Amino acid sequence: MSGVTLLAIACSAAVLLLIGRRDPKRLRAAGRCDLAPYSAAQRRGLAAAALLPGLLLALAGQSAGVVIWLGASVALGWLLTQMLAAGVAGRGKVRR
Amino acid sequence: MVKLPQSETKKLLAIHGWSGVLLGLLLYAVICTGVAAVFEDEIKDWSSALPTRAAAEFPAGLDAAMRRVAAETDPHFLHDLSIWPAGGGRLNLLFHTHETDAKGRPVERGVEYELDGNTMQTVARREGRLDDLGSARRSSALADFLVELHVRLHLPNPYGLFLTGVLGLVMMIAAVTGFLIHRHLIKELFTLRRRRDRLLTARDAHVVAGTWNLPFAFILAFTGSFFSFASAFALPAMAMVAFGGDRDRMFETLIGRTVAEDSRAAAPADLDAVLRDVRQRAGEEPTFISIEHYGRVDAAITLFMEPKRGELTPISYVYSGASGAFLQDKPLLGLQPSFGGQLYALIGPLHFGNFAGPLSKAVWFALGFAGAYVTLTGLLLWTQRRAGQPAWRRMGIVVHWVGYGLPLALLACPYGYFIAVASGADAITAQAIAFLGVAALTFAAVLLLRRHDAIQRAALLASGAAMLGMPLLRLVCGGLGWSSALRAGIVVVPAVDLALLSAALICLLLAARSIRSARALPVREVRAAGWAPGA
Repeated sequence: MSGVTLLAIACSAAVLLLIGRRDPKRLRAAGRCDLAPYSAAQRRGLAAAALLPGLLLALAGQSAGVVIWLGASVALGWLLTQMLAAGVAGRGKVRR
Repeated sequence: MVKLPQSETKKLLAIHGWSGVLLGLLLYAVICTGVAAVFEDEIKDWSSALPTRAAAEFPAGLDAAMRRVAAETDPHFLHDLSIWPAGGGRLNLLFHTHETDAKGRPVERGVEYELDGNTMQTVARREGRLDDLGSARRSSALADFLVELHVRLHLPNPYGLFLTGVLGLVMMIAAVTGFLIHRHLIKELFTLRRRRDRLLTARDAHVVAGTWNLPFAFILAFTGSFFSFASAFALPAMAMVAFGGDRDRMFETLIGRTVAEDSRAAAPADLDAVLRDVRQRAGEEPTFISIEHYGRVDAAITLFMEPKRGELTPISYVYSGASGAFLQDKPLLGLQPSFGGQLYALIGPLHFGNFAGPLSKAVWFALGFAGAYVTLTGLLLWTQRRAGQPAWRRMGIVVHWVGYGLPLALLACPYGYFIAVASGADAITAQAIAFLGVAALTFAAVLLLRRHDAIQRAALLASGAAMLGMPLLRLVCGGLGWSSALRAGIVVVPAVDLALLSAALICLLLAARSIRSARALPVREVRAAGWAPGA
């Protein structure tokens, strides 16, 4: 169970990182001109992809896995937001 | 997300802020201790590990040990028996009976034996009211201190439980109003602006952490509030209204009776054989054993098990306490599965996060940490915005003191505990003195340092140093070394030491970064930066 759950968490975290890196509001606020923001349709598609591992766990009847995946995803989402703001992830040119 | 008229948003913002600021500091204390209490079992194991460890928490030979201590016990207490792992490789066996005190109130009294799970020798014996027995356990005192602070803020029953229940409601109000007042919940999920304006930066930090943590803030608040109110208010009220004050009959109705009453004496069933059978049936280990009507024909052994792999809710197995025959598997409430029983069974795992070993506990630790961060940043934001008014400036001092002083005071407890254990002093008193002493010191430090960033840096440095020294102190005070622990299969000792050292490193790195950025700022900006009580 743990291995599958960890894989699901890793997949969702990777997609969250993709969304976060090119989040239009974040890029605008940070004055980033080197990255093109995702369109609304792209963000919706990626959001669905981030939710997919949890859905698969639920379909497999892994109730504990679903709850762990959800908890870990929100905690990692917060961590990624902090890292992106600190410039640890997704470095690039900043417009002043 | 939710578009409300401006006047409604203002009202909700006031409710959000005032509900938080009035009880926020107590809520912060409950959350902080809850974060640590996620690892209650590990803290017990780490702080008081016996040098050898049995292969199972309920090892073979338990039956003989149970009969031996039963023979040493006043027959008056041989009514019910509870058995559970007490941490560090110990087992607690508590024989207890239900009585009424001089005022006619129900009380439980009993005799508790603490056994070495490997040798089955008695290492401690306690007798008295169950409420008092809990506060006299020396080996688990460190974890118990945290749990008591989390559950009832060390206040007597039922006031402490009632207060923590109200704090849960406050957290729910803050979560719901926070959801309603934040118009761009999804749009700003990744927006954390680092600006010169510290208030706006602090606002973003609070909002982003709160948004990510929103679903679990609500879940943890609801389940915590449920536990507090159920024990303090709901169950006694239900017993009074529906069962004429007969609590035993109420519990019998709620939990269900599997064996018809028969008070004739009978030799107890072989507990070792029951344990072998339940392991085969469930494929999991028991976490708690309860034997009702010990030594009677109608004795029933209930074994509460770990949840099955991949599942959230635990199940229990019932055996005859006289013949040892398997009777049935049953849900926590009632004798048959029900929707209400399922919901009830979910509350524990969702609050404690203990349903899938270290992985679920680690996630719950992170969620609790986020909850504490949201509470503290909210309180800081509220007081910093009003720092121009003397009353709020004083409140700001208190927020800084509790916000940064409480984690430090909690980190001081193991120092008091280990030193007391090594010197033969009372560990429970020593850790309380360490907690209060460091709390007083941090208050002085807050008054001295005055600036938010300086207080934060000092707290990071002191926390890092405290965690760095803790494994060393444990060893110096006679704690188990890594090689001995690993040889005995006690992985938790080096694991907790390593976790402490890693956390210490993170704190010290953050402090170093903060010092570097403070040095990079011109002197006038450092002076103007952040909160300055009394300035």
